[in-house]
Amino acid sequence: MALLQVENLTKEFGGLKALNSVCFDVSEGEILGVIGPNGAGKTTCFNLLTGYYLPTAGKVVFKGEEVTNLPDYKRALYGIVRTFQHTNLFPKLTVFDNILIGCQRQHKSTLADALLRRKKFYSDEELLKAEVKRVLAFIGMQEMADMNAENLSYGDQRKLEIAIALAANPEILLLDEPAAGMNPSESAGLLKLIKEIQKLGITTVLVEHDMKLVMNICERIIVLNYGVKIAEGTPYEIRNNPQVVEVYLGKRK
Amino acid sequence: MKRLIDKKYLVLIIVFIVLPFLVPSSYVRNLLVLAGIFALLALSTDLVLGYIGQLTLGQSAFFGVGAYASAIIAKELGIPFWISIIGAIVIAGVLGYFIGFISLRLRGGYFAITTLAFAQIMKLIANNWIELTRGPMGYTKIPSPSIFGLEIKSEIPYYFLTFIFVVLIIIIIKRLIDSPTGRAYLAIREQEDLARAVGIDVFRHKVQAFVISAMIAGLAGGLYAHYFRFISPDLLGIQYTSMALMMVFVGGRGSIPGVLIGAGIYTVLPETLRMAGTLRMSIFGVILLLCIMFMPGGIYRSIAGWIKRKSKKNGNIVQQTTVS
Amino acid sequence: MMDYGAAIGQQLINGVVLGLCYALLAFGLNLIVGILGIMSFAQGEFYMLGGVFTFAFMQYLGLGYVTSILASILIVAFIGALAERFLIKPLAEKDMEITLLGTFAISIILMNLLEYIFGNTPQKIFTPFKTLYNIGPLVINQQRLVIIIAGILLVLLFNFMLKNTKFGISVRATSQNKVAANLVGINVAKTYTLTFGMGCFLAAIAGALMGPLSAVYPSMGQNIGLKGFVVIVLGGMGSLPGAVYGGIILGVIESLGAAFISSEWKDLIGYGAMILILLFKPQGLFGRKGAGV
Repeated sequence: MALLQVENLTKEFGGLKALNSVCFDVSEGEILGVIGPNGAGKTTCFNLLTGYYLPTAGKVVFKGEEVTNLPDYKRALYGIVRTFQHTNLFPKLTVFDNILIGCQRQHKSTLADALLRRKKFYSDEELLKAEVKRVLAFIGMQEMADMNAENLSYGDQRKLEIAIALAANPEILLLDEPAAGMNPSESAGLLKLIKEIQKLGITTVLVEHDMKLVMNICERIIVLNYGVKIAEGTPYEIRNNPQVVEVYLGKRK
Repeated sequence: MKRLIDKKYLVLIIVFIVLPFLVPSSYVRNLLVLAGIFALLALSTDLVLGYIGQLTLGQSAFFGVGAYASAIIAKELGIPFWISIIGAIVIAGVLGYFIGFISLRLRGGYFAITTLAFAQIMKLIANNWIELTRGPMGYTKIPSPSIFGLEIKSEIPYYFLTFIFVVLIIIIIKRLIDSPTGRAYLAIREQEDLARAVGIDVFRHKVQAFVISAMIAGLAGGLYAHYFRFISPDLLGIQYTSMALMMVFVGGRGSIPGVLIGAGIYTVLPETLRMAGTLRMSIFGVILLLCIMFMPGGIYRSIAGWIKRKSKKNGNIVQQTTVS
Repeated sequence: MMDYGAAIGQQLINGVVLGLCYALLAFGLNLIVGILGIMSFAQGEFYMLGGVFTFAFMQYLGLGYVTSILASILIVAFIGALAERFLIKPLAEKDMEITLLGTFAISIILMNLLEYIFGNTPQKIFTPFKTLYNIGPLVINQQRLVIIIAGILLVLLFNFMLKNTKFGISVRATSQNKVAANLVGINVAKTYTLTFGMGCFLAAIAGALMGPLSAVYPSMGQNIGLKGFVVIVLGGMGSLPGAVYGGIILGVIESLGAAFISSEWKDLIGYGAMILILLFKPQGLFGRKGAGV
């Protein structure tokens, strides 16, 4: 069974269908790309998956359980974790604290434990700190742990955003244009990072503009145009799909 | 297990224990009690302002309701202070839940005017529900707390009573802030969307902080009532909210020492300069305005930052000399 | 039965008079909210200044009522413009909520300073408009009539000005798109300052007009400032016609409520209505979302 199933997902804004009956599955462990020209409904689709919007019609099913109308924070608890299109981190906090907040939910002790400073509170805090160090090591930012997030380079900030999402213990990671604004070397680093994430057994869905990144990294691609899915397949198939070439790639030539 | 109170705070605690015996007059001792009560009110306000970053204009409602609740329970039902004050905390908390649950759905300015409207409604009730509150003339002859049959009535015993509560609340707030819950508050203040994205239930945490804040304000109100033994609907007035806002912003929001300094400056300094109440308020209004314009972190952070820079500079000089 | 009808009619007149004052104050507040994007908590204090200054000019300088009103509203508009230029503008460049707090601080300063100077005893403004008119069973005094006429004229005048003068057009352009307005050569900073001054001007007129009917004292602005928000929430944030309807509705409800339910509890209606509308119909009673200027 697919990890995430999207069935007839539709979203209307004042009578305009931003997304029209879109269906697709995401299999466990894959990297799926969602592409399309501007206004194709990519962002709407993304926002429906994360629970930022609720759909007009259709279903989103995660591990056999319907999550269509769950609010965003609850989806995160289920293991559906997102990043944002524009840099979104805690700028005034250190890199360490940024990630610490990310893995916040793994804390099992209660408020009473914290107020009474019971043993459970301390042991959980230690666990979290170990988890933060693990994530820091994974993304290779150990030596930046004490820097404020706002003082990082752009590439590192975007990396930190993914680290925060990883700390939230996702089963499926939804990345909203992760390469936006990156230079070629930063985007190459990102590509490597996403492949590393796949090795952890985390499924990734990315909505992206950067064709090179998508073609290089995704095992499967879905193409949207005017809110409708017009193609689905491997990068090779997509590249050779005449309809896609016409609406999307054709424009670039 | 860590110690309840860190060693470095012991000095401070000793200072505050001997302080009331050093001050010259009962008038100043009176101010010390007042400073303690206002410190609680300011700490409660800061929980909402400084940690979940919401501009609340309704804090006086909880202060006033706490005062009335404890006074009425103690006097009408003849129940001792120690229980009536818990009643005040609980009632303020329940009211906080109700008001928070409604107003925290709104954002920014809308949240601010809604909390202000609720405070005005509570004041209206205090003025007009005369069977309960005795209306604008005020509620008098509130019993003093007593312990082992001894009344806690004069300034010094009441000072220590207040002091114990202040220390207790500081410990609670500190532990709250240094916990996953406190980090969730911080995340909400800094970046609400991202907090949600990592699974933090933003609304629940906001309501929680609001309720805790209301309970602390209720405690402050209760302490006020049993000290002055007279209260009036003015306690629910916007002056007390303004006062708490000034203490928080002038001292430094989101910082316990900052807020305490704010409360101290507000209560003690102008009183010792013998300033009239209204002039004091307007001067503090000016200070508030200057602070938010030029010292947005508050006095505490500015001084702390200045000391840090200074010591760093000295440190560098020492290093340089050793190198040369 | 006839008496009851007359009583209602009388309260309706009083309500409309009160409502027009709310409308002027809220019209000004809505200009500030709609154009500067700032929820000003000092609006009630500018209303108070209008009343207290008018009283002071009459009492201490021996000026006439009308002259005093004119002098005080001009001074208040000037104070408002100064406050915008030197206090609110630098804050607004930083953070919206801090700006809101800034207006709150301004209100604290004004109220307490005036209380320090004048004391907080309610004072009566003596109006020359004292004649009583009988309309059937109803009685209306000249001051109320003046308020109705002045209120309507002012709303029409400001409406005309916003629609037809160069200044009005630059105000509307700025409210719609600040950047674009700047590009076509509108001085946005100046527009903001003038708009804020204008908002305060309207509040001051309301205060000066209401003075003879109630009393003036430095803390009179506290409730009225919040009432201003009640009105614009009723009518829709940023909607100028909404401010007028909202003001009149609130005025009438309060007058009827005070007369037939309880004068102590009348404020509850407005505050309660505001909270409910914010929760369930945030665009205000008159529908349209983001209704423009």
